[in-house]
Amino acid sequence: MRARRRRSTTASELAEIGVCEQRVVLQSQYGPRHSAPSRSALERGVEAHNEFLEHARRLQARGNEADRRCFIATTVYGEGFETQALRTLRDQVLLRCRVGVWVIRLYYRVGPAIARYVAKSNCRRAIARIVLKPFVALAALMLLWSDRGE
Amino acid sequence: MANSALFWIFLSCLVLAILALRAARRRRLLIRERRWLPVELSRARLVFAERLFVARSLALAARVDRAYEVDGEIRLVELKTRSRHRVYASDVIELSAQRTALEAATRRRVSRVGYVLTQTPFGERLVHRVILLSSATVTQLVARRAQLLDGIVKPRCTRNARLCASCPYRTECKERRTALFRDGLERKS
Repeated sequence: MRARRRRSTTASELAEIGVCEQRVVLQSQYGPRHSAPSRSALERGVEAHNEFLEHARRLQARGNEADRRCFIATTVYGEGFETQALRTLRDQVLLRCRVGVWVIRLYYRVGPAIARYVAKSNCRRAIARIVLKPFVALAALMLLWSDRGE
Repeated sequence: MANSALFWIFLSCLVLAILALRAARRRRLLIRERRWLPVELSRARLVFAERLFVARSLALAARVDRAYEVDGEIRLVELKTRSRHRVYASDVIELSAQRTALEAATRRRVSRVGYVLTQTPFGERLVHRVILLSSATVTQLVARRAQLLDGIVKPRCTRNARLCASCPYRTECKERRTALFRDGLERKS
């Protein structure tokens, strides 16, 4: 006999156990119910969460503005997907190991000079694009993998 | 000539006013955020906001309100709207489930310290530092919930009378408890 597959439990559903187990059982049998005060509290909560999210988005945008240290990629690709993918590679792979941190430090030293050199002609930009291609492909794969994980 | 100059002055003033308004708004936002943000998160980077993480191996899904990265580890923040600045066991369970799901989905290290941010209807915010449950405990809770829903284990009731009084299932709960009590008496006799 095949085992019955249950859908994923959400964190808020699990938290209900900490309130009252009987309520968890009754809720699954009779469906969700809300009293008038709890409904208004729920609405207030949704409103507060929306505001909280809006603030977070603005803060993240500010953070990204300050985090534009992908010199060569920005020169070659601009603020496109490739630059974003390379930033992810930096944050999720390189920053996690000591060697990676050294590589980044070195890059921050020599990167601006290389970026200035590359920016001078289209031919140099094209060469840089070819050199960066494998790194961008790796970073894009990582992004895809992390999106699947979520 | 004078009209053109006036037009340019007006336009410059308008642009300056818009920029000043935007700067003031941004500053207000930053001040509001700084007011509740704990010291250890003041230099942290906001990495996730309102993001869903699914740990398929545990059949657990969690939406994270905010996640900050500090010293290579992630710290979770959960917003709760309450009439009083209080933290409940359910908040700790929720944050712990978020931690387990995020760790399983991204394989990144998530701190055992979490933050519950309570917000009153007047907009006052207060942050509470909590110690989260281990992933093993969260897995046990997921299993217990499944057992409760399958009727394998008997559910425990809350001892909070106020919670019972406002519960939308109190009629059914009372009936069930009366029936259980009667069963017990019959078995004894």
